[in-house]
Amino acid sequence: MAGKRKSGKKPAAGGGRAGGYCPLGDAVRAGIRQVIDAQGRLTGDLPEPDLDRDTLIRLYEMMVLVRAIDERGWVLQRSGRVEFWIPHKGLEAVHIAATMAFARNDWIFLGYRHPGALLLRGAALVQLFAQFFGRRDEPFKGRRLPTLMGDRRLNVVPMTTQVGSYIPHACGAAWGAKIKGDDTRFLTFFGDGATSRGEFHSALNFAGIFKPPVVFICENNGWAVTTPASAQTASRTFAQKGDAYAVRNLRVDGNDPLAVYAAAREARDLAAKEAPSLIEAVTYRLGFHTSSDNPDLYREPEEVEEWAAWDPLIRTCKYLERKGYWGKRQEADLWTRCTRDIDAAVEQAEAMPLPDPASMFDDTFEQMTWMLEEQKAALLGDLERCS
Amino acid sequence: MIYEFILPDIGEGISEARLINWSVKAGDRIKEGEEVATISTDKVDVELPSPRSGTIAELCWEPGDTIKVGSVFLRIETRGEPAADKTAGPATTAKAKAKPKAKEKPRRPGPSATGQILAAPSTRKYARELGVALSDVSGSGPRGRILRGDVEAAAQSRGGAARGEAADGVGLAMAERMSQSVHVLAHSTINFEARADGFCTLLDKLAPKAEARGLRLSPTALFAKCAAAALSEHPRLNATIDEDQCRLVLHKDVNLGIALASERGLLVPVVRRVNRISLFALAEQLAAAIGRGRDGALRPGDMRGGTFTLSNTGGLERATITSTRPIINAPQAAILWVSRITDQVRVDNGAPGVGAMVSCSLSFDHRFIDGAGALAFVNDMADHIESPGQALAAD
Repeated sequence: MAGKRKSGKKPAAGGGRAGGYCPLGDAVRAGIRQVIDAQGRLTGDLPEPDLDRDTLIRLYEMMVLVRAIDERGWVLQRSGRVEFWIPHKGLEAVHIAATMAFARNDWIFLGYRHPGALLLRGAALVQLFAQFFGRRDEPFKGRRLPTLMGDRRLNVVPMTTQVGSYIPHACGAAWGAKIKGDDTRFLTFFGDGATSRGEFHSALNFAGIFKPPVVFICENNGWAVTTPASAQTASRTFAQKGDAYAVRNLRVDGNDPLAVYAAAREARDLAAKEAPSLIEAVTYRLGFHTSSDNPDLYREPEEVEEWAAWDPLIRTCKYLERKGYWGKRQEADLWTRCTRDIDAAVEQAEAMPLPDPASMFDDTFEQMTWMLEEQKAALLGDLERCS
Repeated sequence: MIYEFILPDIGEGISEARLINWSVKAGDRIKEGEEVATISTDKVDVELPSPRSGTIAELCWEPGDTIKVGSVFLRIETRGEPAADKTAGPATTAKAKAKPKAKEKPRRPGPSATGQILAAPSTRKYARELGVALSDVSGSGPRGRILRGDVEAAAQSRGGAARGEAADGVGLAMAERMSQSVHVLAHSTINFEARADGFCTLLDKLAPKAEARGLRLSPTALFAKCAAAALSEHPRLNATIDEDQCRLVLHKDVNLGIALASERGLLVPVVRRVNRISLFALAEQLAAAIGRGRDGALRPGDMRGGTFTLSNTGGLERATITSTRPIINAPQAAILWVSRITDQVRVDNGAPGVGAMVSCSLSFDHRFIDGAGALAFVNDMADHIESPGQALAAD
């Protein structure tokens, strides 16, 4: 859609205060459900979810670990050790809280920027870094772009790079489970840009009619690469698109993990009762779109600053402090632990073997086609000539 | 142990970056992840973090320098550091090795450089159906990509069945191509003469043998073999121009365009693999192409895929033509004109005499072929005309 252009002073779809970039300070007016404010106080219109101390701490620890992975991944990419990076700074709350709201055997269809979903399901850090380094012994055998992760063993379907193309897959898989009589529920993430794709509308329409046990989470992070949400839709919100298809929908503060958890939990329960949901999680990409991007070309620094004040990590930390669950020492220890664990994972993953180039032809057809055989032979010939 | 920090492609398709400033100097201790420099790419100014902990051993560039991705950016002494040097990114190491080669060549290596065949899956399938080996087909598409028409042409030149194609617009296409050639290519022409006594003797000797096979052996066929021999020795002349990539694509086989005057105007049927077929086979194909040209039966596929053009106007000349300025048949990169063979006064061993002579003019695209390269070809071409036996050696 829009190319490199400066955004006007226009808030994300259905914004909040006039002139402001971030609507979270006036959430009620913007129809955004919220539990805590920027200071972690219980001021929102949603009740505090019933989560015990350990669960809350686990939630926060995962958010910090995911942030630390992003910081490390960025440095690895910039220093030439990882080929590509899709940052997720500022987007930790949505996918982590939503994953925690679902059961271990529910299926998740990932979008970009969701390492927490895999980690919560039990994937080891070294498995993630092996994927980032493109190493052989990870679930995708080193063939996918760094950060496009997933793991069939954990019921986590990897993201398909074609924006929004997998939304009908999630919907169809959910329908299949319903026909089979499974109690499995399905969760899928996608961005604001994906709502302009036909697949989003096909899936929503299908969900409205056949009511499969699926929850659609639209992470409205303000920008589809360079296209601001204001140029993505003329609708007041992304959530209201569900109305057209008779799909239950709501807006939630995507930088408030408690609100996301509450909304996702309720949606999961309703999914089994013939009520799929579309949740618009209003959040913000604080970092680059990818390592190939330069957001200075299209967005104002004030916009980023305003959103940074609503950083989900800071809010959650303050909330935990208020509850007496957290302090400065735990915070410092947590970061030390995350850094140490990541150091170890980096060292271990980077030392793992790279895939054999010839293996890229495997796992495509049950029996290799003549065309692939020719290509494989040509590649091996080239490699031999080069060596 | 020295760790070489190779300038990475930090932005998906960045080929080079400019160094704005160093944040460190030689001898500084540095931790992994600390900033070492700011660079500027066509997308963004970027602070580069250090990939390893250690001591800066060498800063390889000065601020303001433009650095190719894949070059050594700086060196870090990592001794005593728990760095995993032996596993230090095999991917980047491989890149570093590959890059210096790439520097000498313009951008991506061409199909002939790597032996890689470019063709769409549908074209590959079509070639299989017609029993044509793609390695024998010269591609006329971008970067030597083999198109459906090239496969068709290859099947035809082999005598295989092929579908008919309307010949309409052939003349128009030629007009466009000529006009474009003059406007885009940097034409440069070398005129030269060659003694043709040996050439005529050989033709006279082979003519009865050809006749015995029902063939008429023309000077053009022998000139074509001489050109193929010289082109094999000077592959830059046997090439097509990839304007998009601004580079020359070299071809293994000599697919010779033969300029042909017809009622419909200039036609240039292509005789394929002139370097690999015998003189008699060439004469036969030439006669067939000329026949089809005169009958208006040449198809567009017959005229595609040429790598060099030979224009022999001998049959048309009554005046004595001493030189021309042939227009290159783009996307080819060079063209050779040869005259009628005539007896001329000349100096042999310091004494005036009379002998058979031929005038030639070579036009080449000076953007991609330099004067020395063209002259080297001309020297060998003249040698082959003067003693054409060697050009037939492979027969």
